[in-house]
Amino acid sequence: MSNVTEFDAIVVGSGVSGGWAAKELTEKGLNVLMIERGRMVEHGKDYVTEHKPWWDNRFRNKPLREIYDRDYPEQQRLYAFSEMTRHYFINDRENPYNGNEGNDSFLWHRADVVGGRSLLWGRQVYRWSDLDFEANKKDGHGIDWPIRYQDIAPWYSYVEKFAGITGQAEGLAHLPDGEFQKPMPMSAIEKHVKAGIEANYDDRIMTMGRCAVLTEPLNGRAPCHYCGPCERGCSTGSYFSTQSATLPAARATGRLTLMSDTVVEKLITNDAGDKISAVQVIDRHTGERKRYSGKIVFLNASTLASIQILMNSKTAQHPNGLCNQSGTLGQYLMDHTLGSGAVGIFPLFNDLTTYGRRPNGIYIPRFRNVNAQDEVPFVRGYGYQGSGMRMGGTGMAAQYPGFGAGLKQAIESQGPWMMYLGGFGECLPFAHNAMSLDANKVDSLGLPIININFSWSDNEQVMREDLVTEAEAMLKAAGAVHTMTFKSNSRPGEGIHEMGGARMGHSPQDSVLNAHNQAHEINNLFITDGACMTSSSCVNPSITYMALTARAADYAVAQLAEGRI
Amino acid sequence: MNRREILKLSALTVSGVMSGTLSRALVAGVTGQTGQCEQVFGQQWAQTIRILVDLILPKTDTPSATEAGTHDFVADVYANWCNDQERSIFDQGLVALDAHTVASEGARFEAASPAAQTAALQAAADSAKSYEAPRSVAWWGGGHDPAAPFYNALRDLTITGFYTSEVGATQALVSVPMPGRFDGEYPIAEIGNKSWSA
Repeated sequence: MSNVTEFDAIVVGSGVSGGWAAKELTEKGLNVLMIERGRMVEHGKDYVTEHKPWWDNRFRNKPLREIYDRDYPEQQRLYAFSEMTRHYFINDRENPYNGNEGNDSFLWHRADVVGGRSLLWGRQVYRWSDLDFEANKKDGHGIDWPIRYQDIAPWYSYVEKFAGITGQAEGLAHLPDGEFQKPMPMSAIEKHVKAGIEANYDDRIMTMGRCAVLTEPLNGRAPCHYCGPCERGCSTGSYFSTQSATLPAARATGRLTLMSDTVVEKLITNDAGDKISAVQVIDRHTGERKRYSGKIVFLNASTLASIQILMNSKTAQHPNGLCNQSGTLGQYLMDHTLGSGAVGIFPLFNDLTTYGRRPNGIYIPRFRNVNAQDEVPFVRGYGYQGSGMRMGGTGMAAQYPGFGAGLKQAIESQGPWMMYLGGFGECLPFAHNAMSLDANKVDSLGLPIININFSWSDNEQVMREDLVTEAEAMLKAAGAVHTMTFKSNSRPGEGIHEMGGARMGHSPQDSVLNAHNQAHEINNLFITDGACMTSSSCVNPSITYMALTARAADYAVAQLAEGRI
Repeated sequence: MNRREILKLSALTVSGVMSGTLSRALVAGVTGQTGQCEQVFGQQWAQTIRILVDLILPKTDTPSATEAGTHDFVADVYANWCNDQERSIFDQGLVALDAHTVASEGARFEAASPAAQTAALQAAADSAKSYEAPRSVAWWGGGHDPAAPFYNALRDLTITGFYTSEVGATQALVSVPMPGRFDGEYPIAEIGNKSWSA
């Protein structure tokens, strides 16, 4: 392990935020090593199931239970997991977590490829506002964010222009507009429900989903062709991923070295314990350990994996894990609640249907506790994602339990219009929602596995009741003749918005990172994945990770140039 | 004799229908190809499967289930995807169909009249009516509930097999693999009120 190869910067992880770190740092002139634990997936040619018809799959996507139960007991629970996408996911058997029998408290969805979950993500993109950045300070949960909207707003614009975001400007202060390409169209029923909601509620609007899918050409990437299952990969680069956007930009500089199949074991500090001097990695195939050094290190391994690395890097100066003077490392984890809402059926527009498979839906922005605390038994709020389309196809089979020509007719003709609204609820930061390293159990590479303890608080539970009630009420107000509510006590992690654990804050006594995602205690270490989050908002977080990453990279390079790092 | 064969034998014994037992000709690696239904079930029971899938999805102005090879898909799933519990339920369901037509017409299912065959399948449907799938299965619609009654399992497999086949997806539904655009107010007359392929 004597040979230390030197780079200007090392980026750990190649997902949404890692890709951005690599792009920004290389474009600013740094020689960058990006380390990814997963295997290489090249844009286009490695999207092996893209555009494959169902009949090419032997069991037509029925789950291969023996394999799934053995190797993917957790990953198989994700909607996007199937035979069409299994090759992107991590093997749970080789990479276990939660070693305590019966600890079923968290679902950790992980990709295991270059590009990470940027290949698989839901692509919904919403800016935060000061309603979110000031929330902790106002209601006393967690600690105050060290930044406000004005600090990040230009960086939202910067990353949106490059990522390519479709959306409709609405002029809302608490859900700021972004740099939008033209919005995708709404369906007939979505327009109808939008009008119905806006006529009946002064405090609510429905807008078209804001989404990292192109509706106009951008940097050689083509607009969406509406084929449907984005998660298989998109060779036209129509949705934002590392492969479609940030990786080609970083490669174009000639300053990127990408190393796949390489797991970061720990960060090595200098003798004083105030700098990262090297990153120690394990070759996944040979087990060989090596070290690489960089003047700065960006940790973008994904929320839990980044914290795992910090915890596994403890030293005499950092006995409880790197940068953990505050004792908060691994604590204040958050996710979003989802899986609850309502569906309504509408006997309208019988002469119309939808054409094309739109990879986006509608959005109803938060309306609870926006200007002041409403008379509801919870703080913060929720937003809805949804879509409206005609039922039909095999989805109608359940409505017709018989057999014969009647069943066939039901399946082969267009069903009624339905509108679905599903809520995403904000999650409060609590110290007891935490992860730690297992003292005894290791993964297939010999690294300590993580244990996560996480439970929803009363606030999330009560909020869930309200969002179900309100979803049904809005559908009824818009004229639904039949409604059905659904309430899921979703497992934490199912939102796949896990965040926090190495939060940003004002001082090393209360947090791991400062206002620039720089570790208080180690100034050449930056963490810009979900681990940095101080609160969770109720909107999807990825665009905020992108903006924070670009902002932190700009700061880091300036600090380097000034000799401060 | 493995567990599945014991279950099959006991099902046959209980039903009193001992002639023409289910074939043991499970051929590993055969993938829903033409002829697999006969290979898996043997000629006689294969004929029963063919009749069943066409009772569920008959020829209308669109092709029948057998025209899309759905019986071979059902056989492949039965032989190479199902677990012992599911195969046992399936076997018992087939045997019960035979018992029904033997009682009504004195003939095995595949030799009975279309009316008797329909009545036998309707009886299977009736016996499954009170069954409620576990919520986890119902929520995701995954169609892999190992305790599902024979009728539900057969019906689900037939629907899946037919509408995800090339014939079913492109001739019974409207298939547009590369739409190129999204239109949320598309005149249904353009597609004759047909439903989209998934």
